[in-house]
Amino acid sequence: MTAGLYHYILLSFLLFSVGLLGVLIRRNAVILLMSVELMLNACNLALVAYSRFRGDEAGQVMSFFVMALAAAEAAVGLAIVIALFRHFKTLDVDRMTTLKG
Amino acid sequence: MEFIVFCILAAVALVGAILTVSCASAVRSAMSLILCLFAVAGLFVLLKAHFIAAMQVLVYAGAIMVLFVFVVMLLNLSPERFGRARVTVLGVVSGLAVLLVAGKLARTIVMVPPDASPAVPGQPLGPDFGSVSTVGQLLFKQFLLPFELTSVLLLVAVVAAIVIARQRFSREGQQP
Repeated sequence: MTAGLYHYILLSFLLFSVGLLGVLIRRNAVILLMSVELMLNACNLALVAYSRFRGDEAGQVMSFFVMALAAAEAAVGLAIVIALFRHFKTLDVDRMTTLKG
Repeated sequence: MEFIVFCILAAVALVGAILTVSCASAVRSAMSLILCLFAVAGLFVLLKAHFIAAMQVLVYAGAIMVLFVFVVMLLNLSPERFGRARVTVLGVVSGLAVLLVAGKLARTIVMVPPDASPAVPGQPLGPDFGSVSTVGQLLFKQFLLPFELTSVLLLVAVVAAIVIARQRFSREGQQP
């Protein structure tokens, strides 16, 4: 038995679900961002798996772009987290109830 | 043999992902995420995407996670200030929403036959599939414009990150 497209897509789907659950139930802003990274990574896995089983490298190029996007997202997201921490003195997203100034 | 390696890597990736979401301490979460990312890099090698696997380790597990750990340590968060995920009405609704999305995705997976052949018939994989040269040729010819746009995006992100994170200091500087 060999690992087929089915297994890779199933794994990618499970990783994405875990990341989505993390975004929805965690209240720590840093862990929230990490869950988003997890979801992006699951998407990468699906892209590369389809690229392999279709014999087309374009999927790998796409996952390369997703990685660059994840890096940009992490940089801006963590900067926002630092600014929020200075303002609210906490990282609990439930306590950040005002968007004004 | 390949299937056993896949199973081990998949199990490690899943355990890492679940620990990332369930650990109370942000540092432990970050370390679990690094474990998960390394396992996925191993899966990329199994999928003959060697260049992407190297990028995964360098960019994701290296650069991005170092940034995360750096921020966690800079803010000096104590794990006691965050309980584990609380079970609330919102949490239950979130769980149902995840199940809904999962169901929609599962319908897509069902459409993939479990015994899909390793390659499209008549299109055998070349010996240099996924190597740096073939992916690089594609990146700098067919996808040149998106590649250049990505560099602009990264520049914008870096400038934005500096502006957002420095805001407080510059305001204090203006008030003598």
